[in-house]
Amino acid sequence: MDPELATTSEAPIGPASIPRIGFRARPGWQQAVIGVGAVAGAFLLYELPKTGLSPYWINLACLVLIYSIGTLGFNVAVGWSGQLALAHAGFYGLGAYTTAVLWKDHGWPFFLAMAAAGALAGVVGVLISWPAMPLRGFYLAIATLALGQLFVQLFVQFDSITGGGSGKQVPRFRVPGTGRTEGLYYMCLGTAVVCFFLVWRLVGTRLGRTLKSVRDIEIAAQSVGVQPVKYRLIAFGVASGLAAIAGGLQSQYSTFVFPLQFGTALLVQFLTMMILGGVGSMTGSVIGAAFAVFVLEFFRKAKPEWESWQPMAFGGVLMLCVAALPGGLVSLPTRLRGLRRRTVT
Amino acid sequence: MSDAPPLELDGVTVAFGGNIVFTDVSIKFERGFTGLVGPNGAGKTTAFNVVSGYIKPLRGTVSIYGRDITGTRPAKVAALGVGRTFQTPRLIQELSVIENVMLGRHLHIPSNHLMEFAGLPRARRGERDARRASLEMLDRFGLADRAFDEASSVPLGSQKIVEVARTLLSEPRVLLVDEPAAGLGADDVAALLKGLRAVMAEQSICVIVIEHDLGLVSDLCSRVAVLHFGSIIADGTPAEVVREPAVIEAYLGGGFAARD
Amino acid sequence: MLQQLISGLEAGSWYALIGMAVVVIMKATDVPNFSMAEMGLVAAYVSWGLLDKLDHSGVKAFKVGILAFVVATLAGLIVAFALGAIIERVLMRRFGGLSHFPMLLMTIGLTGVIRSVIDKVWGGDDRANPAPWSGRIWRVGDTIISVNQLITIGVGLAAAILLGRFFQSSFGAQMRAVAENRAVARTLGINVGRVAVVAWGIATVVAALAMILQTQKTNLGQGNADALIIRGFVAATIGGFSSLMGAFIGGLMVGVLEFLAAEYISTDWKSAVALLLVFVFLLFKPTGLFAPAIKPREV
Repeated sequence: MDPELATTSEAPIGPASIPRIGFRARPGWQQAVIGVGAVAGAFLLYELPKTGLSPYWINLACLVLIYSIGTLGFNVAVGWSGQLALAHAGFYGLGAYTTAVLWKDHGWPFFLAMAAAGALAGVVGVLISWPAMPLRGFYLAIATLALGQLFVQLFVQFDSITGGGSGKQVPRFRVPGTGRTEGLYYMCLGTAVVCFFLVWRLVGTRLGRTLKSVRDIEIAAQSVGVQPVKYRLIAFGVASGLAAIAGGLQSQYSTFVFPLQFGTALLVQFLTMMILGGVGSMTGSVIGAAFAVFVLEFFRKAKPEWESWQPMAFGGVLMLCVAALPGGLVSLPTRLRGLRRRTVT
Repeated sequence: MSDAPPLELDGVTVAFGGNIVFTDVSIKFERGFTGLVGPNGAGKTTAFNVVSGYIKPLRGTVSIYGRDITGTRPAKVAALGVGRTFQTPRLIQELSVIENVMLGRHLHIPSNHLMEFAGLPRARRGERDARRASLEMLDRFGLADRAFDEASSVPLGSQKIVEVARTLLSEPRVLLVDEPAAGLGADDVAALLKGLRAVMAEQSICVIVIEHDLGLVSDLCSRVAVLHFGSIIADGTPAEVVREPAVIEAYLGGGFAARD
Repeated sequence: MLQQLISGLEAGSWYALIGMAVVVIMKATDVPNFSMAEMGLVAAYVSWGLLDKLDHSGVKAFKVGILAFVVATLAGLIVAFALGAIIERVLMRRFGGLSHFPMLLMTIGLTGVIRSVIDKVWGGDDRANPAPWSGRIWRVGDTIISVNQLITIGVGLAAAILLGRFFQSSFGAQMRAVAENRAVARTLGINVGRVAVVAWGIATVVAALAMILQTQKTNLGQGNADALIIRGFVAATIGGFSSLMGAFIGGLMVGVLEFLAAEYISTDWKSAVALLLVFVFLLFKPTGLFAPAIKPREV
């Protein structure tokens, strides 16, 4: 090493006033409100089954939680790392089947089975996306679309394990000391909290901004030593793993898995949830999931003959969002504020 | 190793799909500022792309401090100490200015992602150090007060300076600066030059500047190399170079009037 | 071997037709249309529904079968053209001009919309959709060849030739000009809107042929489009999303390789073939077979 290459960080601090170190520092009262809100929200979520809400609503809450996890994973791949990975429904299915098989046929403890499904999908995701790394944008979308379809066909073909096209029954795991629906709810809530916390840590640290650099300024990122492939693979693995964990919960929710559950319709639903909520937003993932559950239930419960409109609701909303609201629902406040400011000045 | 020039191109030839754009270029760059000038399409940015690993040369070798880096991937080249900036600033628009600059510390943060994920003290310290270094660097360019603004809210000229700050934070031993003054106002140019000179005064690294503004080049650089149709046609002090007949021919004969 | 080849060419012809339809739209309007198979499926349902009606109409002439079948199929194709033209005019033109990925998402959304319409109008049950010649076969040695297979392969080939011819015509030249550069085409006085409408119409007709032929072989149902569109996209990829010939040969390649893999490796491999091919082509020859007229642009 050259002795003359002193590090710049040892240079004296300049005279200009340096602002307080901290990111997007919010005023104290705002932080307090957010903190109190978070605690209250957590308490409310925890107490939800005890508020006398009917099992029907608790079930819906479970579904929102499950889809939130799946959409969050989708967001890690598409939103944060900018990879148009469309095999998400397939990985969701892989998780559902792996969990079901390990838990039902091999007698693994349920949570271990689900974690193993997540890990397996993560590894499979990394291994499969490795050869796809030179692919960008649209090409990656095509390859992963094909991959997602392939998963569905594999679920049909390996019928000795998966039960083939007719599907597979999955017994429900009973959380000790809780009722049937209540147990499922706590399972979903616990998993969702863990997953959201992990992703929050993930994108809140250096990894988050590095992922974004690979997404937005790949060439420049390389010039400061970022290896894009490494970060793409990390994102792909995390996304696939989260999809699989959500899929594992789904197998518990529906107590039945069949291949066509994980086809194009689910992909359309995932795309809608992510884009409607807001690409690259954790809150958006929950909003999108809540919307999807509302649509599913509205068309199923309100009138049985309306159920055929369900794909149209997802597809139509997806088209509308792409055309009119690319930032998703979470961008609405900012957009409206922007509009107002523009009208004032 | 210590006598080896910071950057050496030896017989480098580059072709795009059969078109030779860079013919057998051999040149050594020393510490201090060197200007790389030439008419549009002369292959200046191509030269940068070859050095930083985005383009693989057809023939020839590129070495930094005596180490052959030909065909090495860009991230690895950066790790070996080559930094560069781009003609148009490349920032993550939705992040703050300082987060963008901190990206430049990528190679120098002493913790891995798992440690950061777990929030270990070492990781926190690394992040804090990176933040302080970034603030100081921004301060040198007079941009410390914009550190916590969203990058998209900063004017284009400042974005370019932010990018230079980011690259300097990666502590390059060889710095490639692509058209720093293009699109910048006089104040921005002054701030940029002041910052670059200040860094230079401490570190004496090898800085190569592509620039159309010949006034700026002769102001900043003690040496200028002129590239024309993929060949070096002149190399020397600014005063020598502008007297070279080949240079005058290239600029005027090629239908290219030097900008003032 | 011959048996697998024939079956593979039959399936490959469906994929090739969808692939060519995708390429036509990509060339003329720069939209990767994921709803191509679904749009063709609508036409297949229309012709099936009409055939059903004619069958029960009591008109003697339609009882014979062939005539009714021809009338119903033609009606289906006309509806297909209209459907394609309308979707272009009403939807795509308004939201068009986005890059490939948003357009891909738009058309993925469109599949949901079309699916709902099909479900609402024709119901979700699978139906038999036989042609008059269904079930007729020839034996050549050990090989069994059905009339259906020959017709499918013939239609695929004919469509490839006609589409190739069409692109050589002056209207085809206009299409290519639009694909090359929309703004320039407009200044040359080409009616860009009309080109787009015709391209979508023709492509949907081609996709309808694929869906009609395929549903004759299997059943008419919602699931048909899913498997076909992916392989159609693989075929289009092999054609670099720009070469009709490449898409045609690519489709046949996928079909034949699928059946060969099923026979000589394992049936488990059958579905992996398309994916492997798409990977191989995207990685090693992203411009596809046959020097493409237009380079697929990045997102």
